[in-house]
Amino acid sequence: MKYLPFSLSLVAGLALIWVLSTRWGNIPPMGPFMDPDGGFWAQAERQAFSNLIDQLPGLMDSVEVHFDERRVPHVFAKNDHDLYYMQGYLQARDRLFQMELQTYDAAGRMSEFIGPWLAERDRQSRRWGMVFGAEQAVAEVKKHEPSWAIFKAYSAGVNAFISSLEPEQYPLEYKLLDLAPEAWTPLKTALLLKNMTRTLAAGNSDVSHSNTLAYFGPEFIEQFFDKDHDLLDPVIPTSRSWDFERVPVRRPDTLFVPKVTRGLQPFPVPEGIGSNNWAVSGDKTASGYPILTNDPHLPLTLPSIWYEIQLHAPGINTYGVSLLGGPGVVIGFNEQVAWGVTNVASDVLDWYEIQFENEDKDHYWHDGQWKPTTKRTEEIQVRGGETIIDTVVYTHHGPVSKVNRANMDQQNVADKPIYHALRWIAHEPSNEIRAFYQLNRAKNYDEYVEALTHYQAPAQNFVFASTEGDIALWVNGRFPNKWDGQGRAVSDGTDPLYDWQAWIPREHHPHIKNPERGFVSSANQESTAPDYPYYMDDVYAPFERGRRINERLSEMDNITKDDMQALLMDNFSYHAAEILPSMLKWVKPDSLSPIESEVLDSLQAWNYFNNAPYRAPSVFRSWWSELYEAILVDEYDADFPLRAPARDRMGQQLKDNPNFWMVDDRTTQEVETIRDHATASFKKALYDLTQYYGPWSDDWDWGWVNNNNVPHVTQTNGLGALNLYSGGGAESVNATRGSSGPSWRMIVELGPEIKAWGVYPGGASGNPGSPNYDSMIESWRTGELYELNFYKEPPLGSQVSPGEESKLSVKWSIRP
Amino acid sequence: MIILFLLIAGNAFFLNLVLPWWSAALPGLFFGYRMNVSPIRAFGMGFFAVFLAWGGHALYIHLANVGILSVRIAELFGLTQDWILIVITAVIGGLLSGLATLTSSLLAQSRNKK
Repeated sequence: MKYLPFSLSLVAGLALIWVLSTRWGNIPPMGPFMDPDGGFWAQAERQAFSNLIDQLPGLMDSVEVHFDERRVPHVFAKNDHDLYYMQGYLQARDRLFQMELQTYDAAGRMSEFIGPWLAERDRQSRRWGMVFGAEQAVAEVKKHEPSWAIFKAYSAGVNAFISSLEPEQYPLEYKLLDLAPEAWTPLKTALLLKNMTRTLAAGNSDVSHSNTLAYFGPEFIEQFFDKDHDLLDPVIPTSRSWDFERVPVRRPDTLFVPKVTRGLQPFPVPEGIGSNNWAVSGDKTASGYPILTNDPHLPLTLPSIWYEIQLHAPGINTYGVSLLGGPGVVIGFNEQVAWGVTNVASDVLDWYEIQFENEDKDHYWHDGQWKPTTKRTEEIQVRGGETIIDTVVYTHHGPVSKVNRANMDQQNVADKPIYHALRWIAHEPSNEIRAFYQLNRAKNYDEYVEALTHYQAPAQNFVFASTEGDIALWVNGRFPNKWDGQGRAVSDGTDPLYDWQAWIPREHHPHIKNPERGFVSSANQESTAPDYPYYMDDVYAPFERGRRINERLSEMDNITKDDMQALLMDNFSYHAAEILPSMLKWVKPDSLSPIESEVLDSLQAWNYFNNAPYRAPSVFRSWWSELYEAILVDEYDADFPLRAPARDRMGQQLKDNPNFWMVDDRTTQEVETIRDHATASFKKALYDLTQYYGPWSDDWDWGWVNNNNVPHVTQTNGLGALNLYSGGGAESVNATRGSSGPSWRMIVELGPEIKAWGVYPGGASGNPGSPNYDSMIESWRTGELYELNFYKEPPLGSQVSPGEESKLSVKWSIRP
Repeated sequence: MIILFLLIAGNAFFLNLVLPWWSAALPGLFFGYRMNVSPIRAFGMGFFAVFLAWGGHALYIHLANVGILSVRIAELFGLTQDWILIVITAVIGGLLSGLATLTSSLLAQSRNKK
């Protein structure tokens, strides 16, 4: 008995250790997490950055890395191997968790990494053939020895960093999630690129288009989806003529009607993905040198999707932003040329209805015969759960998704089971890194064009400018040569005429060099005017940003960097300018309360700029969405996905014919007019805004209502930058809207000495305990740009000049 | 007595630099055996020694980092004040050490009872 108190105390102590070393739900193990030496505290940077490294195993020669005052690394290596090795090392050092998270997501391994609730997303990633696509890419990369060498050098650099880590040095997120990093492989780099393709080129409306066609008929399709807005100004100017005949493809005589479309779910594509880029020739600039500008719009996160870096070695000196997990610079410049990208919404993803012989899915009907399938077993590991085994069937089209039978339209179900197969550009063998490898070294227009031939997906408008004075733009990627309208709806998987029969030859891709108007531009709008001989797609961004950019560039002369900066921050809303005057006319003024009249007056006085301190943009946006919904809600009352008209097409329809057939609410006895809807939706909008933001006051400022947030990549509380007071809008050149927007703003002037400016909403470091985690957010919010330090030689000694001691720059000299 | 207190605190601090978090219990286990005091005092000494060692360490980091990280972690845990994190850190270390000191002082006393 005398040992009882001791025993109790001992048990209590051991129990405490057990409790503190266990993860409870989402709460990390508190013992190791709170440990002041090894826990989260270890990630709190407490002195000016240096962390000097003087030796790294695996380097072939010595390397210098200079970190400037924003902690951007400038790598000076003596060979390509060391250059990409260092890029891998530095990216891992600053952003390891983000790199891993992206590739785990692409590989369908989120539930293994994070938890069981992500298993469904993983299953979908596998069924979309993401790993299959990445494996195709690796096989292709291996065929080109220099590319494969880069992939391996990059991986070795990442792994050199990972293997140097003790658990207490793991980035914060690993400690929060109680995880350890895994070795990097070239496959992960390929997965990252597939993830970009999924983000940018997985949009499709095949299913909703099929439904809409069946539900509303072809006239409706023509009215809302075939015709472009009158103000559409395509990427390639309409003046461009096409001096070639298209390569013909055979098309079916009658259009296939899909049996079932209801159960297919498209992969959720975040909204607000788009971008601007443009280049103006020296004739239009004050300096006489071309200026190139780019701002890719993507979901905004901390850490940022981009990593800024300069890469210098014999034969290469390039600066710009790179993707985390990918060697080379994606958007940037070198000593002779600059380039930038915006997304092309070409249709490179099609669904096919597949007829299998039986539920074993060993054979499917195609071209008049039963053809064999292949099967791929997917093992989804689940953290704290049982491994999920999923067998994915592949046809020659691609992987097969099963239709949920519960959602099937009973009368349409045929005798044989029906499935859908996915034909997607991401499954084609490709080597995009080679394109960037060559682009980073390109000296002129011809080398830029050659580099682009290696780029396949996601298709981009590659804008270009050179110190030789050329400006150009190629709508670049690999595009299937389709018959008009092919793949718009769900396709017939049994008929070879629905297959992708060929590719559009490269020389036929839409492109333009040194046009007469003195500039090239793109803003995700339609690539070409209707006279372009090939069919590419019908789902492009509305006309608004593209038209605004082109109008401004046409008016401008003696252009300076400041003009380009102002255009990047341009908040003009073409959408409002087009439709608001009509909406104001439709409102019945005598039915308004005094406060409603006051708000209406403020809209009358508005200049259509989505500026942060204005309240009108908040009112207009709510009003438009209420009105849009009021018009569509009765017709779109269906339990299957339908394609909704774009806002610019709907606006034009209303302007041209305010009481067209959809306006009347068919569920009521009376006949509603546009005046009824405009008035009611105006009142509803004000009511909703009042509910949310209180009475009409500064709280209605668009800066707040815009709801601009830059959350952490895992949406973890406390690690994001929220409630930024920002102007902009999806239809404005400054496309800041909610948690999407310009993820990198860059201006490059191509004189004998390259001058460049840039900013992204984030910072070099991915460590939330570093002052460089979010250090550029405020500059980004207010539209400031940093002048980029582009060195031709390794800078000598310290860059600190008197009075600028805070601009500390750090130099590492590293030996193998 | 004050010497034992300082020995626990100092050793806990330095051991933590080379060993994992549970090393906070080791000095208490070692020195508690040499402590002939009431169980409450033994626990209290062990607790406050590492409370100070860990709390002081966390406080130093918090100040040197100008609170950049502690503000974020506090928000992550739904705490309104970042200094609460320093207290939690100190209490975790303190509890570990307090129980360790108590345990070994109780062992010593039990053996001496005969």
